Amino acid sequence: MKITVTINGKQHSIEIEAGERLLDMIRKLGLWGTKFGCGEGDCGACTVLLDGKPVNSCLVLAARVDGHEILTIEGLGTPDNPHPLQTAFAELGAVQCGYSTPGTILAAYALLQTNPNPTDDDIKQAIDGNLCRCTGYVKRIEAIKRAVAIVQEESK
Amino acid sequence: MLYPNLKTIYQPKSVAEALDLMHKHGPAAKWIAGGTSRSLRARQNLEVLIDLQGLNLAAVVNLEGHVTLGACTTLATIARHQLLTKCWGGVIAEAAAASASTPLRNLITVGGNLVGLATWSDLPVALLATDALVVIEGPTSRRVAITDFFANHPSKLLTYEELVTRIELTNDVTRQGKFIKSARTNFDYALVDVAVTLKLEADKTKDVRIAIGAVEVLPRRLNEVEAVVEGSVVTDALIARVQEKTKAAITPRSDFRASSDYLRELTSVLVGRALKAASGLASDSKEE
Repeated sequence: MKITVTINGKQHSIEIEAGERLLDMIRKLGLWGTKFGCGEGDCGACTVLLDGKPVNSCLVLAARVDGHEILTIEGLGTPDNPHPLQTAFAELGAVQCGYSTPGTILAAYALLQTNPNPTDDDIKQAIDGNLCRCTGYVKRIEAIKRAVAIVQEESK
Repeated sequence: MLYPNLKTIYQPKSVAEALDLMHKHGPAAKWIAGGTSRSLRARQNLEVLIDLQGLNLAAVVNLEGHVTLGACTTLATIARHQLLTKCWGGVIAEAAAASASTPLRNLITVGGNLVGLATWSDLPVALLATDALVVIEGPTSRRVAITDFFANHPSKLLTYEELVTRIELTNDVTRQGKFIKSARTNFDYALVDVAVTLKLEADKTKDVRIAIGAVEVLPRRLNEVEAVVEGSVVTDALIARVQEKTKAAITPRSDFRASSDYLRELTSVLVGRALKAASGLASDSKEE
């Protein structure tokens, strides 16, 4: 079946199978930033933004995003012009193996869109679906706070 | 592949169309809303899905003193909806916020959460502490009180042709309430869920509802414990009696996570704390 979906601002017309995961559809397009972790909605490595909201793309059927908008990590910032979240994660050493990073950054990005001044608890809740075996979580939270500070500096 | 043998996903635009499709293609065809638990079972042989997301059932509406939760409303919407943070002591919003994780709450629907009823499901416990009615549509329509809906596992109550379309409850903002989930983290499955709602009339409790979940196979109201509280002023002495009554009233499960003795003790303590918080009695211990 064919679906039409906007990915990272660009409209795509894609031939998919009825039972295909959104995650697999995304990766087949060459967007490898979104990872397959557990396939069960537990780890969050597959997190993308569907109409601005973080979802586990391993649990979403590709067929159901027909007419919707998706943001993957490739749609955020560029190597020359990274998003403050990407800068902050690199700066603070909040990336180790990197597997949980794309999903976490997208979840944090979704938070900052609706809550530009989050509390520590807001941040922890926003990324509560993104497990990380490497970093011990502290640096990821600090990186998000650093990103908030960068955004506030830039808007002055 | 999520569903290796899936041939068709129907995307009806009305409840009538959806019911008609299920009548034609069921019981082999299955409903799908958020899809978070559907995708973890019955994956291999499923050939037909009927998608409920196009039925306009994803709204929370206040109509003439009643709050209606469309069955496709996500837990994320419920967790922050101002109608639900205010009515029934806010327990519904609290329970939704305590469930699963951010990305899952954006997918899990209240209808799916109720019908799928896992032992650890949080929202059903909060709804049990309200006057919620579950509206079911199918070949005939019916409305089932939430306590009856969970008298058995809902899969035994519903035929394959039936669909929960909404939950209705009184927009009662005169109540106080407290929801407590005990687990290692928010994302962890509940060990114990407790929801208490009540009214206070000159310090005396009225219409006390105490619901527990995750402790036994099905969530339920503890009527015998409610009777101890009803009409009384909440004091530390009453809470001690409530805790003893709770221990006697429940038959906790035992599994690799906790023994039934531990769950018995934990549940009684949490029922006491929830009652204390709901009645406004000053708390001297940290909420977990």
